[in-house]
Amino acid sequence: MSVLGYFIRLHARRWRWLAGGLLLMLLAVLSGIGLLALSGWFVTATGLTGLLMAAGASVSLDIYRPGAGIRAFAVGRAVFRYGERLLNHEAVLRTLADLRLWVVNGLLPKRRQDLAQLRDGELLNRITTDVDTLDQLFLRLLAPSIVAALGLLAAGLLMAIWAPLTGFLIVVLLLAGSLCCIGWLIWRGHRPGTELAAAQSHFRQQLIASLNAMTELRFFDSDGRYGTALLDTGRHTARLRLQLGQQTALGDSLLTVLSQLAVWLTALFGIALYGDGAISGPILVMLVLTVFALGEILRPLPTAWQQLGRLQWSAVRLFGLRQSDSGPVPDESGSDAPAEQPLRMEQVSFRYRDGQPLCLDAVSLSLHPGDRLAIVGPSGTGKSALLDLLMGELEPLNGRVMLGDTMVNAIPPTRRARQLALLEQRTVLFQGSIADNLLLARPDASDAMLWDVLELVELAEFIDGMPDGLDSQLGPGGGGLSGGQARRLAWARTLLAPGNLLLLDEPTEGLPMDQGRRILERLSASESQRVIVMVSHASAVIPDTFRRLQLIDGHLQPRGDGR
Amino acid sequence: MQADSTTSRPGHEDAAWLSSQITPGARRRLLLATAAGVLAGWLAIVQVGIIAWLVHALLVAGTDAERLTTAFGVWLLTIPLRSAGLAVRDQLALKAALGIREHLRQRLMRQAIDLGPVGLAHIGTGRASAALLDQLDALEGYYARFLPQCVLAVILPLSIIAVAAFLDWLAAALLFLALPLIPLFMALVGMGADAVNRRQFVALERLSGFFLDRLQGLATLRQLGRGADTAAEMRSTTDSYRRRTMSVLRVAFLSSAVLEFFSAAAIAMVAIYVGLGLLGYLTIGPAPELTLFSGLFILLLAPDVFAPLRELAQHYHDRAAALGASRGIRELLEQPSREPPRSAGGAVMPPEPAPVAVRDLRLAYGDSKCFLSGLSFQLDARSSLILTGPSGSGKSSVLQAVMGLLAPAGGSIHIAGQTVGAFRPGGLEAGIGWLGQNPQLLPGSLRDNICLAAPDASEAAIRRAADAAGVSRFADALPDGFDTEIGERGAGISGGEAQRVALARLLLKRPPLVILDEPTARLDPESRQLVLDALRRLTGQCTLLVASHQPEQFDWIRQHLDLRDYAAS
Repeated sequence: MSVLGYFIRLHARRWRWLAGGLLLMLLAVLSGIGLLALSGWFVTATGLTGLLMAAGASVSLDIYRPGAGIRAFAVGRAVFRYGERLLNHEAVLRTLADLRLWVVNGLLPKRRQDLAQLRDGELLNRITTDVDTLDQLFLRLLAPSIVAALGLLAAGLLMAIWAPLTGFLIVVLLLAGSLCCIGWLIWRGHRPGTELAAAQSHFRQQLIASLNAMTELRFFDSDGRYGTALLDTGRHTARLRLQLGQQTALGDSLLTVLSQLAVWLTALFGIALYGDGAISGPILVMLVLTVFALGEILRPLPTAWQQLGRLQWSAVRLFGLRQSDSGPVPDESGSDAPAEQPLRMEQVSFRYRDGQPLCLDAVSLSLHPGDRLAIVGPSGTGKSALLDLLMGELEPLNGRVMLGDTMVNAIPPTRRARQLALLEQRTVLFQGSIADNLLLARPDASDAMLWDVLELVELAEFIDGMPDGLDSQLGPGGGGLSGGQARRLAWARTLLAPGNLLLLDEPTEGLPMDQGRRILERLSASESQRVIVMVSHASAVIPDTFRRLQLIDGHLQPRGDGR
Repeated sequence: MQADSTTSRPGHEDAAWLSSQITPGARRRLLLATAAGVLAGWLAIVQVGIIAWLVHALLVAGTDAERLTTAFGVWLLTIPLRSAGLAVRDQLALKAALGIREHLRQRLMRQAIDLGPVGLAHIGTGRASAALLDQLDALEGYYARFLPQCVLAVILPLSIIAVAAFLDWLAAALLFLALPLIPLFMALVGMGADAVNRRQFVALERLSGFFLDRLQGLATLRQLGRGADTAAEMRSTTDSYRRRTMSVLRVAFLSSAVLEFFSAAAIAMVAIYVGLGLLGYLTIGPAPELTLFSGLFILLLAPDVFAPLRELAQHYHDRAAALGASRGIRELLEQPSREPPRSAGGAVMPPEPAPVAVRDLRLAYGDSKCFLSGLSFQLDARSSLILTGPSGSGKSSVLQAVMGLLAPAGGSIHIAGQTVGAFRPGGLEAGIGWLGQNPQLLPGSLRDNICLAAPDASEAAIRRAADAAGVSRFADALPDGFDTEIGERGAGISGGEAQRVALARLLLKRPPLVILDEPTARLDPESRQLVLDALRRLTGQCTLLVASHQPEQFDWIRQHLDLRDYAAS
């Protein structure tokens, strides 16, 4: 509950929208009650007056004010309901934005390995599902409960004008009854609810794994045990779902019994009061119909509270995502290190996981302006780790990486980006225009600068030929470009970065050999002042201007030729 | 369903498909659920009738206390009955919906298995899993809530109006006229709202797409120094989407406002009509005959005329969601299999190494272009063959044809002297071990994964296979050893380690025919050496068919076949 409480507090900054939505919701509900209660009073009053008039008595009844009241309540109910839905959706959309920002801000200081997990579609799917579930927290759970409580209170006060004791008793009965009903649902629903959420997540994980492993299952599980187990898990979730659904149905009907019982009791008490002459006939009908209309505001409660388990589950998972280890968060204050500082690696050791052999073993490296360095070696030897360490994205096990006299991983990312630029091994592009993607590296770059880097990676002609040129839109993840084009666009983005140190991780991956080499040669010739460090498993693409080192068994060794 | 409506309105076709999925058991439950709902609705009529009668008896007729007590007693009796009706309705309908869902889930899973890896790759595992998970779940509300409510929304209002007509035909006519006006107005508003709804859906989709897109590349954005800007960008994009969405919702919510307004206006109109009639101000029609009983009864009935419709409107999104989901589900169900059919009582692979004979093989993409033709080779039992050629030359497809995963467009394949179609389902698979370039492990422990084909394997056999495949080398360093959980919850292992686990799985199965598809393509040097050593030891113990674009790694295999020579032009 405390985690859910945290998310409820996250709503606090939207309190104006939420309060407005609540108020309109309450007004709509009260109009509905008012409509029925006043109509009942009016019909009874006219009926009694009509009889008296028929009997020849000289009586009069003001039909205009009640009539106007009935019309006002009728129009009010529709108008308030409409306004309530608009306001609440506005609030939900704002909360959704808040939640998404909360996720992004929480993830930003995470370690690189943790962020890399976000490429896993399932984790992403889980995050969005949890965010979408939690954005309903207010509208589905809190708002109906608050409105029910306030509506009950308002109805009780109204009844108290004529029948204080009856009003009090009925409100207490409905309040206590609803609370018991909700409490029972939470108590009974907690275990199956949590189990269901876990079972669904388990089922999802297993199903996706088995779809991906279709060939493996075909040849290593030829009698289909895995598929049978999967179906059993599916049936288990259905059973839990049914159990929860039956509880909700039971809760619903208990609440229906309760609210109808309240009407029955009101009629019973009211008749006694009428017999005593404490209230008139029309008032009696009004009291009964007020309680009659109250049923509507209690109805959403069981379903709302049944969701508590799911909401909690989502809240805990989202919260856990943010709670997991953060990398050190460098302070954003402090001055820029002056440009053209040498980058040094001092006795750095590194391994990805305890128990594995070191992939870097006390490696030292010093880079100066104009350096051209190529590190070769077969894939999987730790070349990418070396670049990530230079970039400050990974923590060395021993030793340190220094930019001038600052530890590189103590430099905040925004400052570091002005000095160092990394082309990752995996091409990452974003939804948006080509220009948007490039400008990520340098927001103030002119079009001429964009065309320059595109020219360098041999993409200018292609983009010039697109109908919208630099403004051509890319789909999610840079969709719409071929693998080679995407690679070169990411490369161009790295070149555009202002830093003096370029780190290129398998830059020619996915490109034809001769094109990769051509671009590297052009790059080496044009960027005379920049330091370029590249790693590659294909030594044939490396131009002769690059000094070559080989990474073997965690050690960097000189290597003369390209073969 | 008329034939023409299915072609002109795709929604009808989807709805027809959805109703054709109702199993007999589910149909019975849905009918009972609807009946229980109708019963509960009728009991509500009885209840308001008793209230009206009580008021009339007390205030006007001056009925004696004994009859009042009886009325109170009957009223009290109806309360649990009506609630029970509602509970039965909800439970039965949910049971029916879950039954339909599980039935469909079984069919879909069977279909996924029948499609096999080739057919599934064609539709995409992402879409297949969406159909099996999210889209199936989207059907629940349609069967459990929307369908029963569809019937209730017709029967209950009409029942109430019939009762009202007994009491006062003019008031009943008033309600009856208001009733069809609602769908009419809703349709008028809805026509715009429908398009608008779709646009909002697209906008929301795009917004989540944007969120996912940025989340996926968060590491890159941070490394570019754009972390803080991303947060700000997300804020402004969501804001602009919100503004657009709200302008859409302002129209979309009008349709529910219309419903709300009409039901409120009808109550108000009935109240005023009854009031004026009771006062004797109205002399038209049956108004002079109104009594407090009939007037109050009609007034209390009026909200219940519209309540079922309002509930239906609330469930309308269940329908839209189900219609959308049904398309994805049908796409998976209707996907044709690309595998050759098997014979039910057919052969099983013999346990000893078997020969493979391929004659004049032709392979094609779907029904269209042929990309390989005239391929023949004879692979004797216990011998080895390596297929070479650049990527795209069809190496994997030839392997798939031999494995019975892809029906050839021509020619023949004989394994152990039988065609693929002569084996019974699972019969061929029992004798084949396969290793690809991208090993897929299942959630569970390392041991579970190694023992997949032989769940009863002895500890010694597991150890032997794990040693031979180089699994023990890293598994022994893990805190839980072979019991280390892998997958989402456990420690991640590297691609090379995963491949060694997959190899151990293969070795433990000891298949007579081993098929390898680029088994070393993505491996680090250590894993590559371990895998190659193990495969070399395997040679001669089984029949071995390998595809690789780096044949020099398998220098002990003498027979080579370059697929470039068989490319169809």
